[in-house]
Amino acid sequence: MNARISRRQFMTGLAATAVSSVCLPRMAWAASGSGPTSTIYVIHGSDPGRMLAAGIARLGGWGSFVKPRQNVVLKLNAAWASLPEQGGNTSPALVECCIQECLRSGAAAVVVPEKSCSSAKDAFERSGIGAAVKRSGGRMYSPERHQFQRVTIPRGVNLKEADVVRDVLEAPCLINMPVAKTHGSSTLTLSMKNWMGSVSDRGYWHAHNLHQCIADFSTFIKPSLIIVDALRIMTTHGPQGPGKLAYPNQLIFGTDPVAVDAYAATLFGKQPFDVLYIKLAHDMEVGCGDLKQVRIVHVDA
Amino acid sequence: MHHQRTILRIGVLALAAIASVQVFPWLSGAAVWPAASPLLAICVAVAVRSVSLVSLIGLPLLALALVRGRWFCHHLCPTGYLLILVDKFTRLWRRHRRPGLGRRHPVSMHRFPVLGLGLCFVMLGSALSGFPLLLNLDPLVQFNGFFSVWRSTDWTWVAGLPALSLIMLGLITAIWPHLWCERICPLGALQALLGIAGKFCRHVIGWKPETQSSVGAAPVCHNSLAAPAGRGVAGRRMFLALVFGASLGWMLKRMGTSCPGPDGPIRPPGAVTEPVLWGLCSRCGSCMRACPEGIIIPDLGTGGHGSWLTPRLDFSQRYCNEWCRLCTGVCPTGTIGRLSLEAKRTLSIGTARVDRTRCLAWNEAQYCMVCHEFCSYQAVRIVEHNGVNCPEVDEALCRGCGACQSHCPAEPVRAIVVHAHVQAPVSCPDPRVSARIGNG
Repeated sequence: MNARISRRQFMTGLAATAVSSVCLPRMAWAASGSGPTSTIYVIHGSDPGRMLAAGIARLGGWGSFVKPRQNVVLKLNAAWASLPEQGGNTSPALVECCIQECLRSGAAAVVVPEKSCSSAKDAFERSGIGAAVKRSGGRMYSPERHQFQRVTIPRGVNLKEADVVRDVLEAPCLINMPVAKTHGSSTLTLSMKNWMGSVSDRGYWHAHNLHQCIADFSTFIKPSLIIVDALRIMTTHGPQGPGKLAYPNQLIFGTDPVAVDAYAATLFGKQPFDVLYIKLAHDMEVGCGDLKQVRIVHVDA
Repeated sequence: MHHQRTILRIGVLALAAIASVQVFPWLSGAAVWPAASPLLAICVAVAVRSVSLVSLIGLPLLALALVRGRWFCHHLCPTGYLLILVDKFTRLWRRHRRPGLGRRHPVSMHRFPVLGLGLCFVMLGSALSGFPLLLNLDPLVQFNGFFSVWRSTDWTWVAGLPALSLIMLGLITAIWPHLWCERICPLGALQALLGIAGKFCRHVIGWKPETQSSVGAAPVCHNSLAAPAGRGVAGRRMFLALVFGASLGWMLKRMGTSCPGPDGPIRPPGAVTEPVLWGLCSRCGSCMRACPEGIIIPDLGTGGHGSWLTPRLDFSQRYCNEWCRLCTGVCPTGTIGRLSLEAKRTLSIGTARVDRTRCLAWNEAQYCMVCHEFCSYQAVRIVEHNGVNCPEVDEALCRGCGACQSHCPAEPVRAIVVHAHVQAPVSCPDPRVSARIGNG
């Protein structure tokens, strides 16, 4: 029984231990610190239904968002009385697919509250979204004064209180489905800006540093899922249009609003931090707006 | 027979009220009641020197009056029936308070309203001068005004003003029951006069209608026009009333300015220019009821002495929606002309102006631009100033819809305000904006 190790074995072992003791923690630290902090899925394609299915499959299927016999609240963008092909509102085809899938996955109901900018009747009608929601079995409404609830925003810098649609606040599953387009004051309308359609006093935001208010509200509201409609994007004369359109034919899926918005900004040829509210939200640690640290998975559907 | 007439009157009253409240989707029904008055139709047609389709709605009653005199007053007039009801309730109440005092002369329509005929001729005379006066005295207009003020939200006392004339009429009737229908009502007087004229014509051509005493036959009138003072005197008085009305209308028309100042009231799209509007508007309130945004309110004299209770747009909360033209379809006098949707969307009813000293973007470097966001016509341009986007109005594109003003967050005075000007189509409508209607 020769239990003694040779000198060579000893030296090799010693070297291996030294190397691993120095390097492994560094590798572990590197993995936690400078690797991707959030993941977004960019689905390329032309059929919203298939794109939606592909994106949700990557995120673990509808079952990881929709709880059986509970409501789903869908915050889309139906702000303007403009036609679907003008890109002022979320695509009605996408909305229809999404509501159908939610209901198929066992949701008790899909509720779509939207405080539009144009008159609700015109906006819901001309955008085609009112009909799409009805066809697919959802319930869309324009919130009245009594359907808002005052909330405090603990981490808000400029926006410390807001009246928010009660359904949005109480949603077991909250899906944010904005359309990507330009905006005269916030540069771009993306997922974080989309929440302005769920609050009652938009004027306050505009008068008290809009970008800061958007970032403030994002510290408060936590959607379960974000799907940005970038099938066609309005590149001029936003948010109402009509303006020039570009056709990236993409849907952007994620759970980190800052990362999703940061990627969507690049579709307009902008750096994420050119959009002030993305920078502010990143600095307030709402999410990660630095695309170098975001894992972006491109999928064709 | 009496019951039949009561049922008929209640039915007509209910129908008229439903039409005036505009609960049916066919909103133009609201224009029907006031326009059914031959008095209104004649005055308007004379004043604008043309006969519109809406004026023709007055023809059936005109024909009826030629054959039957005041048959309408006795059987159909909703205002008259309301006054009868007011009188009945007043008498019941009085009898309850002090038995024995209830015996008063009830509302009746049998006398010839000589004073009403005078008013009728004043109205006609002023219409001849192109500035019709006193159109609000028409009982159907008053009826419509009362019912057109009802709205479910945002009820203010100003919005309730069109109801005032019928309320006053009710109060007058409670005190002097036979004052309105028997003496003052110009529509009743016109019908009685037409009845006499019809009788005279029938006498001339020798035609005698066989069934003089058919359903609810009412006497044309008990006292003839000439009875109290003699035919000649009455004729002279009426001629004087005509001349008086014409000269009054001419004077008031001259006194008004043709163009309201920039701070004057913004009128609904398709409205005639001032001062004709002051006269032509019957203050019936139909446009105010029709507006789904509730932004048409009675003016309180901001547009001059003749502008009282005429419709003006109030952009403090809401604005004139791009896709709406409901107010243009309900006017019984053509004060607000009918417009196609395309014509309405290219019509400029005012111009917005930015006050840079109040504007949050210009003055406080806020990322505001709400005006730009809401402008449906791309009439707000972006100008960069101090690193933020600031608004500037392109007057060639501005429609004066008030979207910017109603949403401007500047307090307490809005930084972008619509100023009045004579309505005209915009000089260069954006082809992209216009194109939207094609596939809309």
